[in-house]
Amino acid sequence: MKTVECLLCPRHCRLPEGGRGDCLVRTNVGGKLYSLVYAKPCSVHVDPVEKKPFFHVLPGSSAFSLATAGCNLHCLFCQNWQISQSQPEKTQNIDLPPQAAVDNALRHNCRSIAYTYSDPVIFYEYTLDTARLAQNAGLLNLLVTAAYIEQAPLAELCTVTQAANVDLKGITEAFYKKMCRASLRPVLDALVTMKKLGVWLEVTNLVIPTCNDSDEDLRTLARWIKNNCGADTPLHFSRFWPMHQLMHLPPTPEETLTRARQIAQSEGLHFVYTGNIAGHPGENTFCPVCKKELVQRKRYTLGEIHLASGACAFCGHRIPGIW
Amino acid sequence: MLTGLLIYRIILPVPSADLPLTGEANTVVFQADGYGGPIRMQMVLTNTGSIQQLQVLTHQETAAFVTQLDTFLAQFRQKTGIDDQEPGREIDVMTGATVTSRAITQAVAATLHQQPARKDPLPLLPLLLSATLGLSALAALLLGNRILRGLVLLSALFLFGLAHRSIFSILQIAGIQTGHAPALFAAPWWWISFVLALVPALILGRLYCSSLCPFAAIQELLAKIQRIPRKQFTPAAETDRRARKIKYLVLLALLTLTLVLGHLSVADIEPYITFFTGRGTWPVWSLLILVLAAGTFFFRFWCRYLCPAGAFIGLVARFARWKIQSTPACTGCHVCLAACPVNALEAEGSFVQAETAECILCGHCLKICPQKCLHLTATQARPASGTQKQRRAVPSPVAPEQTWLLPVFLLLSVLLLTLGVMYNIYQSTSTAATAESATPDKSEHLKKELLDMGLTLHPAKYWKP
Repeated sequence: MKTVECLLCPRHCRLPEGGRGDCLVRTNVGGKLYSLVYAKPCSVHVDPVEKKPFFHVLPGSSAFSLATAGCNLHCLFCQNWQISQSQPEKTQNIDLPPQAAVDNALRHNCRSIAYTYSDPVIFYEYTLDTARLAQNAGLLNLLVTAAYIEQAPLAELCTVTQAANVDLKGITEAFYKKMCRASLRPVLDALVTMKKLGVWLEVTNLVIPTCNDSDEDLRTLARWIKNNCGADTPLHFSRFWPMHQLMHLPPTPEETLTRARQIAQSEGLHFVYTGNIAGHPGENTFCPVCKKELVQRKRYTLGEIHLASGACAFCGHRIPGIW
Repeated sequence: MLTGLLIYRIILPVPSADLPLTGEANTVVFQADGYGGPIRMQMVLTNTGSIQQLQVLTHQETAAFVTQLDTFLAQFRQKTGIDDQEPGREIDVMTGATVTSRAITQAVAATLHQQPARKDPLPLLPLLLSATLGLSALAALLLGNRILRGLVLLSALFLFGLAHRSIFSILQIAGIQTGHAPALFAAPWWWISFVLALVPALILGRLYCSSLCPFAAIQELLAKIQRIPRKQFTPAAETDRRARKIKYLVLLALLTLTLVLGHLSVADIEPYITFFTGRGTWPVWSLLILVLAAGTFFFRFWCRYLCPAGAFIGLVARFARWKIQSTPACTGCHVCLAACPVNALEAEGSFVQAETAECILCGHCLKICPQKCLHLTATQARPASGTQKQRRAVPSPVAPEQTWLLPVFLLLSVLLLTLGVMYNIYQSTSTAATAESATPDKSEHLKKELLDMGLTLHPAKYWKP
């Protein structure tokens, strides 16, 4: 039997002839591994870059966002499960070769292409080829990912990636095992690698009531990011909304997000944001030195901006990011 | 040849290399308890939990299984759960491989539900019916009622043969020999035929061959047909004695081969299985036709000369204490010797007894004895000192002797048996080989299927064979 072993993500699926990987988009035909979703995205949108969320990457710009079906994680709280947990033949796909994606991004005045919604890891080859062309065309490549990927493919992907928002779903192996059918270790390793390879990192943590909202979890997570990715790494605490297989849980209370933000700030992180709650002060960027408000946001729209070529307009402190 | 096979078995690697029993997120390797032993299977699940692919990795099953496998497994595609309470309802079983079908269905259901295989209920009805039939057969024998025996034989033909296709078979012995027997409740018919064949054999001889074997019924019917135009041939006593040893050779050869090759399907050459299931390889089909033809000329041709299952029962029956033997009232007229349709009686002066290994307990001799001195009894009435053993003192008055037809039939049968076994060996090794390399046809088909669904096939990075 011509079984192949996929080495893209830590799952290392062994596929028999005709079998599919855990991600549902990679298959073994005649002893060779193929991607079924190359140039076949099911979701293509022009989104504000804040929606990804990226708060330190070209604020106010548009990101040409695309995704294919499938995912290598199976989070009970998935917000995009209709596409991420679906086989690619069951979604409505369009033909969008890498060059066409780049052309479209430019035509829609996007400054970047975001590989998002499901996970760029599983449409790896499509991401890689599109990102190469995009880079040459002067576009940024943004990964919105759970970073559940092996080191070698990640290193190659980082050569064409400028920024990544990594969804760090929890900070315990138990959480990853129970809620995502995955493990935490490879994600942490991937974060460190991305940082090392010079990719601009922002981290998102979806705070789910009763699951990962304890003071201890939040503190451990913030501390890990500070120690391994630096105090300047933006951390987004995102509000959970009942979804997919966690319909029985309430939405995250605003107080929880406020508390999370305070804990992370007390751990020494400079840029801690709250997400999915419009009008929360946690949406704004403050200068870590003079504490003045530098970027005002309300959901995905921007208010006043006091940044002068990437530095605080009041005290001149350099704010890290891609401006 | 045997040495050659031994070398083949020892030197060459066994084709069914064991994969570890691992469960990856979406690919599950599991095991079903098949007819010939464990069937290792792999199931690929979609994220919604439906079966995307089901395939057999290694197995020890018979030809009926191999030929129908693809169609059978295709039934499982897209299913998210299997009703394991009534496995036959949702998934059609494979003809001639019922035990295997049920085993796979239940294993798939259990794997899907991720719970241990269901406990089968006590098979009350099969047990009751079979017990009734077994006791009736015994009653017919003890009462000497030939009409009842005929009725039992006919019922066995319908119940064991046509309805449940459960006939005592050399495959059962070969299976036990390789260490695999199905669970009692999972395969009640398997155990019923097993017990009916061997338990009476231990006590009083080949009761199963006498009145419970469906193929015996067929052969006795054939004899009846032939009797309308004219009598059947009765081979010379000595020829018959030599010829009936063939079945022991067949038994020995089959058991040795299954043991050496470790693959049950090698012994899958019994024509009666083909007769009742309608499935078999071409050598076995030819053998069936030959055996049926020969059966019209020679009473119970298959049972007496070739049946390996009968040979096994016969070997067990050697230990039987109860047998047909004469009382001292015997005058030594030896009418019974001539009348025995299977030449199973032997005489020492005025003492007559049946060879339990050959006697099919038809009761003919009990009826025909002028003194009514033959009985089925455990009491040894043999005279103390041996007079000269005498066999067939009286030349047969019933039918013309035939000198050349029997050897021709036997020769052809043995030839076809050999061919059948060789064909099976070839099949069992080549199916392992084809499983090794997926045919390009299959790959092309897969490719086309995926492209038709509107997907691309872009070479992926980061993988290894």
